[in-house]
Amino acid sequence: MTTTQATGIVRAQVPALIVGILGFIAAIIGWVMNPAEFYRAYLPSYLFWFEIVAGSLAILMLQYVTGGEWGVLIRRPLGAAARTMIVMAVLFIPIAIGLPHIYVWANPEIVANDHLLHLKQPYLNPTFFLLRAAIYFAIWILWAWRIRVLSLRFYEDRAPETEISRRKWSAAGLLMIVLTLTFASIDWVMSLEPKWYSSMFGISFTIGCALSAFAYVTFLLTQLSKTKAMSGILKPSHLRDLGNLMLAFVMLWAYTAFSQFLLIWYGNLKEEVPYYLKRQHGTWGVMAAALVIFHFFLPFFLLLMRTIKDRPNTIAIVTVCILAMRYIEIYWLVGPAHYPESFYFSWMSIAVLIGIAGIWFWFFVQQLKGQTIIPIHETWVEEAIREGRLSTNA
Amino acid sequence: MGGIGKPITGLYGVIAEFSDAQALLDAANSAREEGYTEMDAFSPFPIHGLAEAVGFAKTGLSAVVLTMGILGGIGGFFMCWYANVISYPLNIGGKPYNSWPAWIPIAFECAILLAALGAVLGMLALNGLPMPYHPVFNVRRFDQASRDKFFLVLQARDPKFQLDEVRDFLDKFNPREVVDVPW
Repeated sequence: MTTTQATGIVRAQVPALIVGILGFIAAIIGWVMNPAEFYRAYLPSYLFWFEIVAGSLAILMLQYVTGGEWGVLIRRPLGAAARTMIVMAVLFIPIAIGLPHIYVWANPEIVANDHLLHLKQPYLNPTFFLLRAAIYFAIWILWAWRIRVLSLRFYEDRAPETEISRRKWSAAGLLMIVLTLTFASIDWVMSLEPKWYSSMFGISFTIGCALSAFAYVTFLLTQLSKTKAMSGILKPSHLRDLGNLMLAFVMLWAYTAFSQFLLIWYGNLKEEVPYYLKRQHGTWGVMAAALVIFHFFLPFFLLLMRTIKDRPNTIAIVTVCILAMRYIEIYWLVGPAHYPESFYFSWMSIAVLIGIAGIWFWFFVQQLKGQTIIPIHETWVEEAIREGRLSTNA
Repeated sequence: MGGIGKPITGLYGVIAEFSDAQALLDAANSAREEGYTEMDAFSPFPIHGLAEAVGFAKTGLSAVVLTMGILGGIGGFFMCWYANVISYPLNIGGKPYNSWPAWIPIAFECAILLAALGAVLGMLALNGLPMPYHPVFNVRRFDQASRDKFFLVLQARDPKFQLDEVRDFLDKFNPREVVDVPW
């Protein structure tokens, strides 16, 4: 039996918690010094971890709908990450408190003097915003735990009805999560610049979530494969499957991100174009160029190569590159709304990033431990492990 | 007389017929481990791991596809640039002639087109299709390979090929029959 005890991931739990608390202490010092800067720095760092959690829920449901060997080894980590949505809901509180510092439309005096914002007020107002956020989190938590309950029941009864029920929840959940993430991204990110709009934004954000989650679980798996308990289980074919899926999501991300840019660039309308003009000059422009190169071209060409996909150490580097670029993209989307004139990056963003990392990881391991990392009773497991053996022999 | 009634002069290999996929997979794996390198397997449906089992080596197809894709991308981009900047410059919405973002979709589509053509034509060139004659069709029951039987042929050009040894070797895997395949 491969338990998490044996992989030693539990040993990382307490240090992670300590690091997380230290990060939050630093962030609180920052909040005392400059609350406005703290709230603005909090949002992108929060979104980075939120993407991993939301994306994990989406991929988990995708795996239950489609089945297949690619998901067998990542199913439990995905489920554990999805169930940490409760933590993300709690960590949303600073955003709720700091609304006027983060979102322009949350300031009554600005809205009163701005005709457009005034017209948008029935949707973009603090009460309705928080109500919507509460509904999103309630739905996500409901689905994450519903799938958990059905999985536990399937472990007990092994009944096909339970499996089908789980699959139905997952199929409905895929529809649900694309819709809710679209609305959440409009609320939390797009409304930072309430006079700009793009119909591509929601799906681009959703794909970003899935990519973040894939990169995270693949990285986790490569690290676990080094432990004694997991050695010999993770095969090149498993990593290749995950690498191929990451390649697909890298391309999908590039497709949506570029399509959005192209339409706005071509249309050249004065209410849309400033969004990109802001993000094209100075350091913001350097970040945009970095996204083109390191968020698309580099991972794209690296993930084409089997020699890179098949080895834990090389694919781990690609996942780290993708995760780093996910943060840069989020900051590039959020930051210029607050600092349009020139680039600014607060040290508090780092503090919050580390703070959430530590606390979130503690809860993640809490959800992961006490079960096997591979769901040994499920369909496909034997095939996955046998196929893996065949490919290494060849 | 022509070719009809021409005496059989050579041996293509020895073929074994199996009733299930696992037997074929086991036989192919053992043959590879035994040191046979020239073999081929036939089955009515794709079997996961069979390609590796018969020692299918990586072909140059991926390099062909990549090269064609890059050529297509550069070619498509160049085509747009030449048309819009050199050959027939038009002022569209006051944009500069060299409005490259608009050309990326076309460059992308050309890359896909040439890569796909490279994949299909390269595949045909590398696997020798169309192939009007193949010795395995001399085996009476070979048409079962497209119904419910599984075949493994060890070829005579294998340096390790010894007729009696190969027959004995294949017999070990409980085949339905083992027969010689004439050219």
